[in-house]
Amino acid sequence: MNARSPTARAARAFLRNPAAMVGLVVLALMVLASVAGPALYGVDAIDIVGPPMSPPDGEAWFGTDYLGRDILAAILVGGRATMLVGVTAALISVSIGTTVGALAGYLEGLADAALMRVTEFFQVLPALLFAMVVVMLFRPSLVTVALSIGVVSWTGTARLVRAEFLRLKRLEFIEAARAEGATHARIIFRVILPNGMAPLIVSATLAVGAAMLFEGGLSFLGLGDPNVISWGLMIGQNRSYLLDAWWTVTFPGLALFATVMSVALIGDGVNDALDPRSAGS
Amino acid sequence: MNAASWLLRRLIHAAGLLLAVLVLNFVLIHAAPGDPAVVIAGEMGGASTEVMDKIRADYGLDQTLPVQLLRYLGRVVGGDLGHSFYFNRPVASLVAERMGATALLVVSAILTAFVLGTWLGILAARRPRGLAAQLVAVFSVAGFAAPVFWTGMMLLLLFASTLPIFPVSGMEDVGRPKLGFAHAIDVAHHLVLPAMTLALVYIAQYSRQSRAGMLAALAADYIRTARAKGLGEGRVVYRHALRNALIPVITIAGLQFGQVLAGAVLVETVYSWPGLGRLAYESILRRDSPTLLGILLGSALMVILANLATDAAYRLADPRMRGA
Repeated sequence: MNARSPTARAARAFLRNPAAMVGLVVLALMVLASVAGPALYGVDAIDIVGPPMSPPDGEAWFGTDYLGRDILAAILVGGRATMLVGVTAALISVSIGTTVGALAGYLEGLADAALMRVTEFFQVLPALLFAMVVVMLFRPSLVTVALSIGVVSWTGTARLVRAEFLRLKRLEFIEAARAEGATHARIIFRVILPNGMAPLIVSATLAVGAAMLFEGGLSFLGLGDPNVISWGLMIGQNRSYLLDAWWTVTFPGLALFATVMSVALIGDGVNDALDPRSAGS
Repeated sequence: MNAASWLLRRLIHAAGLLLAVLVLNFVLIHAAPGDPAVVIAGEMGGASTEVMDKIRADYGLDQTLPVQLLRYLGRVVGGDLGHSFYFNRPVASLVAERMGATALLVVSAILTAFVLGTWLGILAARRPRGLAAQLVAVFSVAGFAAPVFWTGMMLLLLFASTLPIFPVSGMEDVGRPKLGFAHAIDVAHHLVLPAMTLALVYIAQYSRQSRAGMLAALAADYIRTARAKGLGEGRVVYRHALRNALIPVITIAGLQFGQVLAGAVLVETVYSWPGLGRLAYESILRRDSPTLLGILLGSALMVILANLATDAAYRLADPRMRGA
């Protein structure tokens, strides 16, 4: 890689952004804690380790929940579901949004009008309620939760990609590709899309954060996978005991907050690095 | 285009969207695994054979799907959204009586976020390195990242014990009169925490937007003219620049009604606010699908109305939009 290439310049700008670095370090720690934490801590999240709702102490650092289970052990395991669902749902959402937006922007005309009507329809339905209905009817599991979040949250990406396509397809290098006899698929995926990648990467990063919050909300409402511990589920299960045992809700929420915050800081950093004009705004 | 034909077109458009929501509801019931009759009955702890037979007859479940869809649409047009077996009441009246509380919460949250966000944005635009600018920067990340149900519970914890100045549950005190000014004050008092919790998410967005709008407006020629005329700085900022800076913020705030409504589902659950979100939570616990589908329809209706109102406000506020 040439030191003056746009990619290298963006990477350097990213690495020099203190907020983005904090985000990267926090995210790395959270991922590491979720992957290796449960084995290192050595306490099973479903074992009863002490009296119910005992406050944080030397035994259980973050206290115990309403059944006497270790909060820290559950937080370490719970991150797996949140992160897995967050990343999967974001991938689904960005894939649908990119496909719809690319087709609408590339084809224009009637196809564009029809696809934008569909997009508008999905924007009218409050995403969380829509996902709640889908998950309840199709039974909660990690798969249905990730699918439903992806299916209800792609409209922003679709509009973004459509706008990029409308902007880029008028430019000369697209004409050149067409004159060379490139197929539509090639023009869409190999010519236009790579040039519209910068805003898409930023939006995909933020989509991961939004999907993790979404998963948290569904689990909090009791619509997560009932057999898998997640941060939202912990908050939902302990909510009746909030006033007697603040630690049961505060720590899982802090974990979710810190993780989404780190993703958001990284997203802002990527945005500033890829688009120097918008830095600091 | 004159106002009447504009309104007519908008109404037809809104009706089309509502029809699409109904078709989606129908598709969801039939696409769900298992017998649609069981889906409609919900897990009532063993609905009786008579109840199941009545559901099959009412919904015409032995007919072909197109006939069922037409029957379903016909029932909805007649105001029948089905029956909630858990609440043992028609879904339409359940949803209708909860809509007001949710609308109050959502509108209060949007207005709070709008006022506070605009104010922070103006302060940040006038002093780029001042405290407000830094607050905006922090808020814009924290507001996005904080799970709204958790923020709500943290505020509830604070105001329930340490600082008991706001009620943390429900919409009114049981013992108070349900009429007049005293009741309005009581409801407003209960509204503070839920509305504030919900507003926190959006203060950041609006402050960013109004800061950008304000910076652009302050750089415009008419501002230089206003200053050259010798107008005071407050008048320049609040009377001349603000009007133009606010237009994009209003558009965003109006179009976000649906998003705020979704957040309200979580906030209502935390504070036991008796709106659609709280009803949705209760119907999930009982797997009461007709109610949940009715809530989806009711909330889509609210979003469509809010979008219509935003368009109309926009048309009134900005004369350039009247030709569009």
